[in-house]
Parts: sequence; structure tokens; C-alpha cells
Amino acid sequence: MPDASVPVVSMRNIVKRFGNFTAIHSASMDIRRGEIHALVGENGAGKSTLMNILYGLLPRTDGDIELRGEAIRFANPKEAIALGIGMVHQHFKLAPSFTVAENIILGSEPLKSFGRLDRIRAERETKAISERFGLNLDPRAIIATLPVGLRQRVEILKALYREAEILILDEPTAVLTPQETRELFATMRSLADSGHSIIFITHKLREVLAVSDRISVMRQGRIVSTIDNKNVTAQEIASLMVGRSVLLRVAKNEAKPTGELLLDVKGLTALGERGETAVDNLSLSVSAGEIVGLAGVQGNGQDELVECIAGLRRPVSGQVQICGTPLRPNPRGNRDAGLAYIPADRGDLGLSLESSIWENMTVGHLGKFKTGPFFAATRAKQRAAELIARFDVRGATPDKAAGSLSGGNQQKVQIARELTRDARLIIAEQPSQGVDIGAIEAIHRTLVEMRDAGRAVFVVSADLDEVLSISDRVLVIYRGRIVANLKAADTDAEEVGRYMGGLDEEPASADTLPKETLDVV
Amino acid sequence: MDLEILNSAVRISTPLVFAAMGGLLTYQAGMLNIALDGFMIVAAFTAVATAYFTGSLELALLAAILASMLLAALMAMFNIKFRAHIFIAGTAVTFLAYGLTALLLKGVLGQDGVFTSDRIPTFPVIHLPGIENIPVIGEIFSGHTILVYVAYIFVPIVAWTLYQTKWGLQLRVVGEAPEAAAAAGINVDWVKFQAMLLSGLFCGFAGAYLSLAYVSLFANKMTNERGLIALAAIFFARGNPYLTALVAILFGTATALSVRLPQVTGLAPQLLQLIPYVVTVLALVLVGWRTTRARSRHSAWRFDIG
Repeated sequence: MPDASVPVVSMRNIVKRFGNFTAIHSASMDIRRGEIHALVGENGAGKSTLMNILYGLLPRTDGDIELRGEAIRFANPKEAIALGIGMVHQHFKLAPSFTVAENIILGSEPLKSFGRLDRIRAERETKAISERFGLNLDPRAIIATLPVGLRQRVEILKALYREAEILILDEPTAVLTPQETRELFATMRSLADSGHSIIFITHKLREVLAVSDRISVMRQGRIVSTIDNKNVTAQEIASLMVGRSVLLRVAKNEAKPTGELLLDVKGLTALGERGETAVDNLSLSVSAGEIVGLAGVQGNGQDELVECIAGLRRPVSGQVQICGTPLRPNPRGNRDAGLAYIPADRGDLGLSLESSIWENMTVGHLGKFKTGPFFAATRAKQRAAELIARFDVRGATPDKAAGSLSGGNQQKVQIARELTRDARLIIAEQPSQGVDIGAIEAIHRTLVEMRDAGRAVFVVSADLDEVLSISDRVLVIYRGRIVANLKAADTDAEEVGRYMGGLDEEPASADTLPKETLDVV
Repeated sequence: MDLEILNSAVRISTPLVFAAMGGLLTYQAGMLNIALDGFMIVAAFTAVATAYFTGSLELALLAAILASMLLAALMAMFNIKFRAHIFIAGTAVTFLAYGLTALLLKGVLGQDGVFTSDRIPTFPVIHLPGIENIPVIGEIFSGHTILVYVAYIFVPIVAWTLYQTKWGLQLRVVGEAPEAAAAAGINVDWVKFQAMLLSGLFCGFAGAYLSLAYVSLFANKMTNERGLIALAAIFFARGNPYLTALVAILFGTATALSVRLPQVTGLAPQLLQLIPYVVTVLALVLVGWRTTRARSRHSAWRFDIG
């Protein structure tokens, strides 16, 4: 039994440069045997980059890594895997049409003669390992049919099958329900007790406090602090992450909803990509002058709901009205009716990253720049320059490609384009995803200004803290239904989290809502 | 229905089955190989030229396969190493193959358009003992060249390799989820390279069959878009080897009909020659209809055109 204080992994002064850009300045970190070590930091702080270096996905520019006292330099993940390092990525790396067993053995397949797969042994070993770690799974189940929580188990088992002793989990809870998160934490704890070391990358501070033994905080490419998880508060960690004290709540006045319904969804039912009922007879409304937040674990029908409102998905039944106009599934018609849409998928749906910033800001405003059959590009560029100044898009000039901006500034480009449209309903999907805390404050302030100017704002976010801090009213979606309609000032994360997990599943329609909720219409 | 048609359907389907097996491996590895025609035409030319100069069928077949695989390696280099879009790489390789074979036809064999000679040996017809004498079956399946039988034997071999071996599993995962494969330590590019080379191997057989067994000559662009028809069969069967072969045979039968029907019906042969292409288009329409329906009319708008 090795001494617990001797680190299994020791990273010393790691430096990583991409061209002129230094992603990691000088990061040092020790991982002990049998500990859960949380690595926290803002988006872009370098957490994933540092772990990708440890896992052999990226070469390091400088610095030393020791594994069990021996210097190592991995050329690829295969070498890291061979020495007992496993990584579960945020986006699962599984082949969806293959079975659990096939995914687990991939790359280290048990064989019979002539290179034949030994399917029976594969299934037996999968079964055995899943039972050993208390992660029940059917080896023959097809990945695509499994819920997200189980897919994550497959990823963890993949690493354990390769006898990983050091397990890197990259934002593992982002896609899990509170129930699944609790199960994952129990698994992490039992793995740690059996001598595995777990590195837990996250930015959810509550979870850090709940599960980790030690916490390393990263800021701007440096590990600024490593602390024991004793007597620390979320506020302290947040301050370390940002380097200054943070306002975790948005400053805003009481909402004054006018009662004029700018978004009115009635009895909407829509199917998801696999033909499942994603939105189930859902009704909701947003009035002018209020910010309504939609909370829910990812994959409970939020995407399909927003697509229906934006006209990107054809509902099976139900009606969507924007500013009083009933709509047919047609993106252009919905926008003309008064919709400003800030999609979560910036790089694909929101912006053309290869096009210039002025072009991105001009799409949807083309009518303003028409002179006969021609297009007044100079005026469009001028307007873009004004918007860049007004929305404080850092590092931007009208001619630069949108893709050259950081995530937060790309978000500002989208917001500038959408909010300058003559549209009274604003839908913002994950507005602060991939955006640093400074920019989040600015984005939230803009949304509050829009509310005060008499527009209706509908925020869809998987980040419960964001929903609670920005919204006037919080709706909770669970399995395609609105299960709660709460006044943000009167509720808390605890209560909303309960609804998100579907524990109070009964209330399905407005007339059976529990007493603490408001009336919908 | 006279059995003559079915017998010729077996012969006509042979190059389609070869090409389809070649295209199938790249399809399963996640590459749409539109250069099957290019591989085949180079093989067909090499086979004829080698057979003409050496008189050896074995050498001719070997040379055809090597030439086709060499072109496949070039294609793989464009697409995998230099990251050219597979469509651009495929078009370039096909045009290169058409141009090169036309040039060499003039330069090496001194002919324009078509080359044939008494000195070209052809694959002998094999009469299967036993089977030959069974009525109907014998008439359809006996009396073909060795390459015909090789083509059909390849189908279960390809299926077995894809679904029962480690290599097959890795190939299919590379095609469906390259990131998952890479994360499991599989060298994705190398697997794709192997698939492309094997695609060349099968097209080598197809080309040699076309110029030394099906007919005994080389003509410019003599593959007649058989590679594209093979791709249609693969799409229709969604990459299932047996179903792919079956659809290839269906297309082959349509061609056999288009050759035979003018004699029987007296209709204009030009019109009847459309049959195999019409069948292919209909099959593809069916595929399109099926995928659209599977995606369901309730699903999201698709903005990508790729």
C-alpha cells in the first residue's frame, strides 16, 4: 500500500502554447491515490486543455509530468490508457448503433482464432466489470436506446475495463438529472475508496463542495490555488475563479408584466429526432415586460420546444402565437411576427463563423440596406461598427471573421443582430454557455434592459443558477411538460431542482398545479 | 422466361458485385468512394495490356489488381492525408483514370477508342461438375468464368469479416463514430486507408473481369458508370453485404433484360437500354423516400446540404 501523501500524478509547471496564444502559463497539480480532486475554473481557464495534455491528446510546450514517480510524455491517448489513465469526455465518444459490450471492448477486443471477435467473452467480461463496480448495464443493449446517465456509465466502464487507476471526468454532470448525479457521486466515492484517483472537471460549485476531497482552482491558464474541501464556501471558490468578488445575482427591479401575451403556446406536442414524444401537450405564455426562465435537465424537450417556437420544427399538434399572430412552421414567418432568437448553437444555427462580423450582423436586416437592386455594403459595415461599440464586442472589427472571436464575443454578435431587430419576443437559449463571467453580467444586463423596454424575454438554460438569477418567473420542464410555474423571488435551487428531477410529477396542467405555483394564464 | 437471360444476368452482375463489395468497405468506413469507376477502368486497361504482351491471365489479373490498388492509394492520400473532400478527390481520380487509360491506349497499344486482338487470352468457362447437369440451376449457374464464382464467394467473406472479426468491428466504428474509435486508441486514418486499398483490390477484379472475361477488349470508359450503380446498390441496402449483392444482381438482371428484350419485343433498343438506369433511379427514389419518412415529417429543418 503506497503512502497516500505521495502523489500518483505530479504535474510541474506545465506550459501550453497554441501559436502566439498561451493557453496554460505554468500549472502545477498533484493527484493523490484514492482522492476525488475537483478542477474548477471558468470556461477558457484551461481545465480541459490541461487534462488533455495529461491524457496525451495534446503535446505540452514545457513542464514535467510524473506518473507514480516516473517521468512521462504521452504521444497519444493509447499510451496514457496503457499506463492506467482514463478519460470520460463531456461529449461521449460512443458508437450509437453498437452494443454496450462492443463499445466497451473496442480497442482491446477479446479474440478467438483468426482475429475473430469473442462476443461471448466480451459480454461476460462486460457483465462482470459492471457488477464489480455496481454499475448495472445490459451488455447487449444498443447505445442509442440508453438514457444519457447509462451512456455515461458505459464511458466509465470503458476506462475501468482498460484498468484505469486515474479517471478524468470532464463536466460529467452537465447532462445528468439530479438523481443520476447522486448516483454518479456515489460511484465516484466507491471508486476512490477502492484506490482510484478521480479528477472531476466542473464549474458547478455546489457539486464541488458535495463530492470532492481537494479542489484546484484554475484561472487564465494558471492553477491559482489547491485547497482541502474543508470550511470553504461557494462564494470563496467563485472569487478565486474570477479573481474578484462576483455578483451571483442580477441586479434588477421588480418586473411589471403588462399581461399582453407576446408568446403563447397552447397544447403543443412535438416529436424528437428518434420519433419519441419530446414535447407533450405543453402550454406556456410569456407576457411583455417579464423574463421567464425555463429550467430543466438537458434533453427534456427544451430543444424541441424552442425549435417549434422558432419555426424550425413541425409540431404534431398545438398552436404557437407570437405577438398575437398564429404561426405555421416557417422560420421566416415567425421572425416576421416578432421573434428574436439567440440559439445555443452559435457556430451552426446562430452565426456563420467563416463570414465576417458585419455580414453576420447584417443578415436579417437586409431590407434596411437595399438601394434598388443593389446592396449598400458600406452602410452595413458602418452599422456593424456602431453595433460593435454599442454591445462592447471585444477584439472585433467589421471585416474580421466571426469565428476569430471568443465564445462570449460571438454571443454578443448574435445578440447585437437579434436585439436590434424590430422584434418584441426574445428567446435566449443558454445565453451564458461558454461565456466568461464578465460577459455574462453584460448579457444579463442587456436582457433586463429589453424587459424594461417592454419586450418579452424567454430564457432557456440548463444552468439553474442562471435561470434563478435572471428570471422573474421560472417554468420547469420535465419530460416535455411544464411541471412547475414559480415566482423566482419565492423559490430556490432546492425546490426547482426537485421539479427538474420529476419528483413532483403530478402537476401536468394549469388546473392541477400545486398551491405554491402561480396561475399560468 | 428463358434461362438465357438469367445466365447472362449472373455474368452481367459480376462486375457490379465486385465493385459493390469494394464500395461497401469504404462506405462502412465512412467514405463515399465515387472513384470506383476510375479504379475499374485502370484495372481493365492494365489487364488487357498485360494479357496482350505476356499472354498470361494470371499476370494480367495480378497487374490489374496492383494498378487499381495503386490508384486507391493515391485516392486515400488525397482524401486522408491531404484532407481533400472525398467528392473532389474521387472526381479527380476518376478523370485521371479515364484520361490516363485513353492516353496509354494510344501510346502503348496504338489505338483510338477501342483495342482488341487475337493475342489477348480470355478466362475459360468452367463447367461445374454435378451442378452442370441439374436442370434450370445448371443452366443458370454453370458455364461461367472463374471470376464470376470468385465474385459471389467474396460476398460472405466480406460479411464475415465485417461482422465477426476485430478488424470489421473497428472498421464499422471508424465509419460511424470516428471520435469514439480514436478515443479507443484505434488509428482511424490507417483503418480508412486499408478500406480504400481493399476497395481498389475488389475494383481490380471487376476491371479485369470486364476486359478479359465479360468481353475481350478494352474501350475508353468501358465501365459505363457501373461504379455509380454499385454505389446505388450499397445505399439501397444500407451497407448490408448480402442485400447489397442482391440489389446489384437486380440491377444486373435489368441490364440483361435490356439486352434481350429488343430481340423479343422489337422495341427500339435505345429505349430498352434505359431499363437498368431507370431501375437504379427508382431504387434511389425509394431510398430517399424511406429516409425522409424515417426522419419523420415532424423533425427539425435541415440546413446542411452535404
